[in-house]
Amino acid sequence: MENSYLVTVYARDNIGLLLRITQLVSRKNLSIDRLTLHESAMPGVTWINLVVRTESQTIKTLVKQLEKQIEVLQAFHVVEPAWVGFSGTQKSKQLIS
Amino acid sequence: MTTEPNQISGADAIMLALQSEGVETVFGYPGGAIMPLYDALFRFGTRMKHVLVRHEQGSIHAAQGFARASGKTGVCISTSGPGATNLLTGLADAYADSTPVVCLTGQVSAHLIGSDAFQEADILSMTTPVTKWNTRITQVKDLLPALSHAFYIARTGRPGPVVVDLAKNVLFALVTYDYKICTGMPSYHPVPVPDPKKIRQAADWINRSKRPMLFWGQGVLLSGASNELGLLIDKAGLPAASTLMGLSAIPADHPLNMGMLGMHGNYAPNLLSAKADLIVAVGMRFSDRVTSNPSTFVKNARIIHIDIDASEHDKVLQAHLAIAGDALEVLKSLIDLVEPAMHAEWLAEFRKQQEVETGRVIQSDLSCTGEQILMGAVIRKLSERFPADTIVTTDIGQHQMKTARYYKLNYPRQLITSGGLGTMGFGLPAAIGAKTACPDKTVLALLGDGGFQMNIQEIMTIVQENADVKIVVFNNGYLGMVRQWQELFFESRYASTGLMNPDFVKVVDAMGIPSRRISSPSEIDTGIEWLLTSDGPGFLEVVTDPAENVFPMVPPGAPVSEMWLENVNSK
Ligand SMILES: Cc1ncc(C[n+]2csc(CCOP(=O)(O)OP(=O)(O)O)c2C)c(N)n1
Repeated sequence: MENSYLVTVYARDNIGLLLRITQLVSRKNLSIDRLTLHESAMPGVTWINLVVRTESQTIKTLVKQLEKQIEVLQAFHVVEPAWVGFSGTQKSKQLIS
Repeated sequence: MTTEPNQISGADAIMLALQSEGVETVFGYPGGAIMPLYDALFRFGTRMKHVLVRHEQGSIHAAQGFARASGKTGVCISTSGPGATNLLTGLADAYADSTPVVCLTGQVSAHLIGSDAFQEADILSMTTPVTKWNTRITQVKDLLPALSHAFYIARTGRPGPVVVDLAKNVLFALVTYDYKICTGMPSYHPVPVPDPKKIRQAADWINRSKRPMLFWGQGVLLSGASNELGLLIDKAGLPAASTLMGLSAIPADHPLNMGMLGMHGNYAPNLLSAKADLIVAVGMRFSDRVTSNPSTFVKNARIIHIDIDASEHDKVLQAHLAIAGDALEVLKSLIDLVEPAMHAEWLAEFRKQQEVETGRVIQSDLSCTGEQILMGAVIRKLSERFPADTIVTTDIGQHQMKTARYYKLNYPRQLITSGGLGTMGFGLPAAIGAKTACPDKTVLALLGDGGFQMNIQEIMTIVQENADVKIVVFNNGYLGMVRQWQELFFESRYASTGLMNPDFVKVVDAMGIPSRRISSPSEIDTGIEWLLTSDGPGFLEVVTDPAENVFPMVPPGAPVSEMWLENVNSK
């Protein structure tokens, strides 16, 4: 079953990091619905949130593949809580289609 | 900039760092952006051997061949732009086949990056999907830590290729040489510690299984666990089968070695995998060439999946028990915990299917009773005549599958072939690397007429290096494997698979390697004898039956247990 997943990644902020993260998503032929990056409380560590819609097996593999990237300190996912949806693109997409 | 005493140039520091990492040979090709490093190499003299290839793709395949033969990290050097983009295929190949390679690519100077400078290409971005790690160095202070990380990352855990992109200014800039070999990184844990509870569970399942099978992949070779694999299957009486990449870990004639899995693998393991009640998979990733349609694969078995890379678990098949750990460590623990067993009836089923395959496929493949030479027959004869520990490289296609099926592999790391990416052009440069790594062993490159022409220029590298590589090109006048698919699945419409070939013997001879051609079965023995005893490199063209096919075969998408022994359409 498809779900919207919120994936959180903490990683060392090197040049090329975002590409390394996002190519793992596009390689699975998934698109990213939302993406944010912040500097985390730890200096030099970036906190990335991304939302993708996919199956549970795919998201598990994706998160493990994210976690194995050398710069990544930690990666985990949750089914996106419903309340996050109000700010998201999902509703606007529904309106368009 | 003030010059402190004891400072050296970035380029000189790289040479010393390579030496600290135990690198004695690099494969490469010079150009503008990397010239300072070549100058350092020149001044380093005999302390570092450089193999000058004829195309950068050749350098990375040679580095891969070096790594695969020796277990050490292969190193290659290229210039920026086109030099570096020429490495991409090899990086993708090394990434697919978990080969430790470090590529040092030149880059335009830091102040020019992003300006579309001459020979500037965004190598960091281009190589990201095909590297275990990559980095661009624009300041010399980052150089030495990056190099030590590069070597550590390439060789540890599940190995893989790493790119260090070097802005030209870094090669000139001065640095204090304080290189430290990396022994660990906070964000990278290459070897997971296997869970002892899971190992006990696995042993329990093995002990209770009536129809167990063990599948193994290259992970066994990479972790140096061939011996332990043999001990485990012997003790627990496990019929075992290999992926293409795992071949050579267990001797071909070992009674429990049932051969190869997958599309052109052996009949018994493919057929009986559907009847097994337990699959112990070690150091493999259930590639689609092995599983065909995963939803029909090993349906009646519990699956134990042992792999160092946890992201392989449940990627293709849902394992009932996933153990993340190094194959050597897990196998060692399992050996102690399993009970001795025989499974005589189950093994008898394998023997029966082996006889079917021998009678319907192998005998005719190996006999050459007609006027034309068959590849399989030559490959089996080569394996009987060449020294037992010969390192064999292949290219891609029918001859590759025939080699996997008929060359008797007995020593770990004996076969060097491109598995995951299936890169034509791999076999010849890989042989150069293998010979560099193992100068005392015989190295035999088995190539198709198509793949040979993809990197034919590397013949000159062999000549210049005087690398004693024995080359066999199977000339069937076709892109054979594609022609086979056209015959079987496209009603024999041979779209663009017929090759007009040069006179290979003249070409290779003109380049400087003694060459011969054989075209009738009666010449096989003398041809092989000539190649084997020729002094230095030798080239044998074998003209083979253009209609030869590789069977058995799992047709695309079919369950592996429905493997064809011959072309079912022609019956
Ligand atoms: C770089 C590359 N291009 C295309 C292919 C597709 N391909 C796979 S096997 C094959 C034919 C190989 O022909 P040849 O080298 O003559 O070997 P044979 O199959 O005849 O033994 C081709 C074109 C490939 N594997 N790699």
